[in-house]
Amino acid sequence: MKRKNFINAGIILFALALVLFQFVLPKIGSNFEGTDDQAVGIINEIAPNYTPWAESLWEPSGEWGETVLFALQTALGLSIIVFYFLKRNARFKMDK
Amino acid sequence: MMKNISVFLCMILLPFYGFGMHIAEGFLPKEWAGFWTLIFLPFLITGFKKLEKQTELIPKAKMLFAVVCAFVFVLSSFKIPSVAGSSSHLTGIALGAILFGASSMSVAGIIVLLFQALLLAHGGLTTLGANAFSMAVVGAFSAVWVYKLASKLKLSQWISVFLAAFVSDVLIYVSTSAQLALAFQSDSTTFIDNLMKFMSVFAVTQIPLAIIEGVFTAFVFKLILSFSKNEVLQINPALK
Repeated sequence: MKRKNFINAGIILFALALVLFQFVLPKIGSNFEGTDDQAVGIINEIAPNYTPWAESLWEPSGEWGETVLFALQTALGLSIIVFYFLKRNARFKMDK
Repeated sequence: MMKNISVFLCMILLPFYGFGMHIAEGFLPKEWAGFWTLIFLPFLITGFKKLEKQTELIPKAKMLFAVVCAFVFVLSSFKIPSVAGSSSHLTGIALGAILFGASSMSVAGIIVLLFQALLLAHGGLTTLGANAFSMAVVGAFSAVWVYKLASKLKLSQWISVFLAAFVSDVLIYVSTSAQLALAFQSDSTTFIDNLMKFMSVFAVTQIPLAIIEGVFTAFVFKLILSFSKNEVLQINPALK
């Protein structure tokens, strides 16, 4: 396999591994409370009578649904970054 | 080149999880939600105009802007455990602010926050203006100012980008704390009391993460510069 193809395959495999990693993380880090949850706790403490006046239009169902959507976000972002680096890598080799 | 790519991909594989910090849907009183939306709108309009001009002059800037948005997308999708058993996330806003200028990042910020609010129920539509102001205005402008100051002090480009990303990350959370502290001040709790309470949560969690963000941003900045130096210098000639 040519060196350029090897680099490209490595980039794609790493990106796929990263997306899959999103599914493992919730199991590892279930004990860490998010700062947004802590902020809601403080709001309840300093303004106990405050009632949120709007709710999310839609919420992912359960932990699994949320994980899938975060993985989708990762995949969307990574696909652009990977595309860019593959394209630049090809151009870089051509320029050389 | 291969070494640079490998380090970038390895850094991205740091252990991330949990929940980050955006003000949740409905958790800002209506008047404050409206206030921050009105404050953010001029920045968004200016950002659109500036970006339009940049991409008209330099068509190749479109791809690089997509990468900058994607960087914010990826970083904000991973949440990092920090000290004291809490977790939060990186923002990634400083990279684009240094490359494209602060106002252009209003566009990147609104895209990411809308996606998270609509699809992930993370943040919210009513708090979009406040969250966007913290992330894409306070975060982006502070990054540019710190970068310029560090450059004037003749610090190396690595250190300047690191400091810009570090300060930007911390100030985003200071801004969010201030927004909440302002909104919930009353006869029994002053702005300062509230600010201290919110900051006690965010400062402890965010400072270690801001260091990671600084290192990460400096590395990716150098990587982009090594791949696309000509485009970067066309977009922002000050980045020699």
